[in-house]
Amino acid sequence: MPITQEKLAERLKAERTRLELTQEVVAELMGMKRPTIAQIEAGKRSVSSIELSQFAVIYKRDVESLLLENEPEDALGLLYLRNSGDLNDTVCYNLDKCIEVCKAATQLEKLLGTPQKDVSFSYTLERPQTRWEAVEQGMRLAAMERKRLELGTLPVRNIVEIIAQHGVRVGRYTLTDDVSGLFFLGTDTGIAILVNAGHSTTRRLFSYAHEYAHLLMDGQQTPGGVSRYGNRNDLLEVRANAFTAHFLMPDEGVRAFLDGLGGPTRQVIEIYDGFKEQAGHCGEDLLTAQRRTAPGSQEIRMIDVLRVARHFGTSYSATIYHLLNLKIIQKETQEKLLKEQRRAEQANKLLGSPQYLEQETLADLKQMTVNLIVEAWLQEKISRPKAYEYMNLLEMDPQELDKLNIID
Amino acid sequence: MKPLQAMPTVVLDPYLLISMSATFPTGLLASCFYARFAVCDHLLPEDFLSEEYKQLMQALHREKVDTLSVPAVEMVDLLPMRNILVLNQIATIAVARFHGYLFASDCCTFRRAASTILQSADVLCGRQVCQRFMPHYLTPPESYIQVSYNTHYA
Repeated sequence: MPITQEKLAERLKAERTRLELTQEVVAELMGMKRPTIAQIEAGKRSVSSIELSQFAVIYKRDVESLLLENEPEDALGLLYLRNSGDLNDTVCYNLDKCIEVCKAATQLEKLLGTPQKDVSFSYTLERPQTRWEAVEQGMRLAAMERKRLELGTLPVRNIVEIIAQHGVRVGRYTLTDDVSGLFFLGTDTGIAILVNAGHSTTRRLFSYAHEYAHLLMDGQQTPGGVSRYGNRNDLLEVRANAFTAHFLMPDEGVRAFLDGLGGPTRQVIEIYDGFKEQAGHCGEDLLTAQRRTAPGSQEIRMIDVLRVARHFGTSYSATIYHLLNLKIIQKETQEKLLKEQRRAEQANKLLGSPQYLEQETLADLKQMTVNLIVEAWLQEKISRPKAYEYMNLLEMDPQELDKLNIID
Repeated sequence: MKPLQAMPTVVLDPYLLISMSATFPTGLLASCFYARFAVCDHLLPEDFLSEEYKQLMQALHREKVDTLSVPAVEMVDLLPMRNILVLNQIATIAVARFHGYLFASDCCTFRRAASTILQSADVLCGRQVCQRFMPHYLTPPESYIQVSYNTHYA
């Protein structure tokens, strides 16, 4: 049942009342006389398409939402995030922008016939009741996921790629400092993970993995969530953090890497030669080879932690806490190492950026959407003005598209 | 004796109007005996690149084409086209349907979308408009569409 003139009139009146605008003000903004607005709101005068566009601008609504019989469902994830409380204006603006880009990407993918993704890759888990249970679940899941991805004990060098392979949109947006990242999913937006562009690269890589953990473990129960300092005690956050630490730094992998860095002061190797099995030789000792390792190499030093961190793509401090949890270091060593954070940063700078951090270039929602726009235009799925409209949405110069010299 | 037929009206894609206006002598559209030309009045500056909007306004002034409006509720069933067209394109199709006029564009995506709503015989490209309604005018060059588009948009 299409919307009638009367219904549209009611909706326009409701919107004006919602914004507490008078008919006079709206009439002035529209370049009309007040009685014309009164006639429109009484359903006695039809609204032309261009007038509706102007009303939409004044009332801060989409033309579609004013015309559709039922109000369009916003992205479920966005609704959830909005209701989750005190997000500041920057976060809200970036969220809205990101939602619009995700919606555009979904529309373009549909036009291009790309199959839409869901969270079928996620696990079904009971909600943890205690912190201990949350940690256990996270650790168990991390081991399962590593097994599924056949990672063995190797570091995860391509977390963004792993996420993107599930059809999840990955992006970086400036969020407030207390927010590390967020995820949301909806039929009109697809699945998306955003991390805080204001954080360091290693922190962001941790955040990608953290939000991936949420998608894997909470995706079926909740349409979105924000990871922030304030909710770090939430058991789902604890679970996601445990997952992330063990997913990025597997126990065996860390121990093996550390073994390679050094060990006890005296290393002994016994040489088996086969003679031990012969009669008369079973009581004899085996030949041994010994060496004394470099002074201090038996202790975990700042540089060792840094090497582990750089190997697994994690931050210095996250690595220290993980080593403590693995009982590789004691509390006193942890405190000592944490005090050396500044020196570690300087050393890290000297060693340069590990190459695999470049994987983050994949996390570019804007770039991904530009590619979709060009593809859709090339395939004549969208008109040129529509391609321009999408470029405007991305806050990019539409004339950039003219460089492609596509003639429609 | 055949009854007199009303002069057909062609609702032009604004971009086609710009192209035709730049290609043909001034006032050719305005003085055409065989058809009346119009555009949809849904022409907001933000829907065009600034240079395009300037050209469009010049073309409207030069060719004295009519601007037609359409009630917003007439666009409701066309809104799914929002994925592939912008609002002024949808309004242009709605105008043609609402008034029962012909529609013309050189954009194949736009024409294809219009064909799903209008009779396919009522959907024309720029060349067909020239052939049908400007028979006394020299046939435009073979590369008419490409030349005009490259001139203005490349």
